[in-house]
Amino acid sequence: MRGYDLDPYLPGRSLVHRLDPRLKLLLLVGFANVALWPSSRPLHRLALTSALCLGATALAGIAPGRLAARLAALIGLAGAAALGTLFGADPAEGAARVGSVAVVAWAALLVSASTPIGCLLSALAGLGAPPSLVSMLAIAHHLTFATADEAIRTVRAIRVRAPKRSIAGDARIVGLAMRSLAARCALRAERLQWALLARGFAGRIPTAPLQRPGWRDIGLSAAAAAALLLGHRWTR
Amino acid sequence: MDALGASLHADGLSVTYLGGRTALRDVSLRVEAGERVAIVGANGAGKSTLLLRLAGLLRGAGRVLVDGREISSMSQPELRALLGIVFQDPDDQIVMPVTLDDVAFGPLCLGVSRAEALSAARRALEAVGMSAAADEAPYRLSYGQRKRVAIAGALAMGARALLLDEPSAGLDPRSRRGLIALLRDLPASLVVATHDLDLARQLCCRAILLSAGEVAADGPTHTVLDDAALLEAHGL
Repeated sequence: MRGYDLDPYLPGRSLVHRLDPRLKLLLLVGFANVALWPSSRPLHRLALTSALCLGATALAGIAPGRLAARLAALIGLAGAAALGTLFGADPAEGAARVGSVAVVAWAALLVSASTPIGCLLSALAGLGAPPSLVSMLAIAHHLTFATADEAIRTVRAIRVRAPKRSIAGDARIVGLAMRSLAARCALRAERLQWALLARGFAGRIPTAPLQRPGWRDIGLSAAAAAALLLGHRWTR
Repeated sequence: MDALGASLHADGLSVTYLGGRTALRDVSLRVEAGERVAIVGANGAGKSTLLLRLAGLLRGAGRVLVDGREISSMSQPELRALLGIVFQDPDDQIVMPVTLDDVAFGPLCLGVSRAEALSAARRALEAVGMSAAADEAPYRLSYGQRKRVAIAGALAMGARALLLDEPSAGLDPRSRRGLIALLRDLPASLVVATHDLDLARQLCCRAILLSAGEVAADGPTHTVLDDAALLEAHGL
């Protein structure tokens, strides 16, 4: 499973990277609430949340382009939706709503880019998420890579054996590939289940306990929360 | 019970897959405590199915006893602590996003404390020469490295009988030699399904030849593997 990189985590030692993952998740929830809350000045709200996101991205030392590359599909979708809103009753408000969703996705991606998945799972468990949900997310994360791996192998196998292509031929190949991919993923999932059982899995993925957040974590989170609250009041 | 490993006794094992294909027919075998047995056979002979059935992951006719106790009467943690399995494809076995966490996954599922599980995981990683990859994401490792991580995952559970499916596949010559040395020193009974006849010769004192889901020969490794006519007749 090499040659491509689906993992959003971008290692680093920035303040954002080192911030307690539980506080990051709580800030993300707060940020999403502020960004999506109805506002009388939606464009101001969008500008504010975008600025906060940009600031946090800069603080994380992650080039915005690297995040944007991972958001490419979402940006395309948001662009198409934003075009649609131009024909609505209030184009500015429509565009701001679409923009808000994109900004929340950006913030979520920033959290996952600055936090290893293991820490996110531990944070979820630490915040009291049901063990079944944590286990489901851990297995879903693994299956994402397994599925991508199967998809790449399927496409590679088809490419080397079907060099001449036409639209009808491509459509047929895509159909065959999807069927093959579904079968391969089902078999992979079965083998994964065997592996989990063979290693004593009983419905709960063990997560590492996290240390208590330090004063720096609390200070940084309080500052971010205060900025969010002030911004919320200003653009309410 | 023997400090060197657990004994394995299989009696009349048969497995028929959905769709009607019979993969195993009335297979019986006995592995003494501390014994190392190779299962050889052509592709599709039923080697992997036999290991899955021995591990209790596939259902079918017959019974399997570990240290004289039928596996169906044992609890899952009890069975998994006694009998480990390493799958042919490491991508089926590795489930956690960080190598060290993955190796510690089994012990943690068995209820071992986190400190002990991590310590066992570090020892196992050292034994397979993968200590340097402890903090890496497994999907970033090469196939051979992932294979060693998968073996470490089984070793960390401290099983007294190990079932290994094609353990040397994908390993470079040096890693393969290291693996043979490692397996030779393990205080566990081993059942190794392999196409690697040299590995079988170097590691196992006994070989079982499977053909079309049945035992075609069972005897000292050199006797079975030096019989060219026998091997030829069964597709090897």
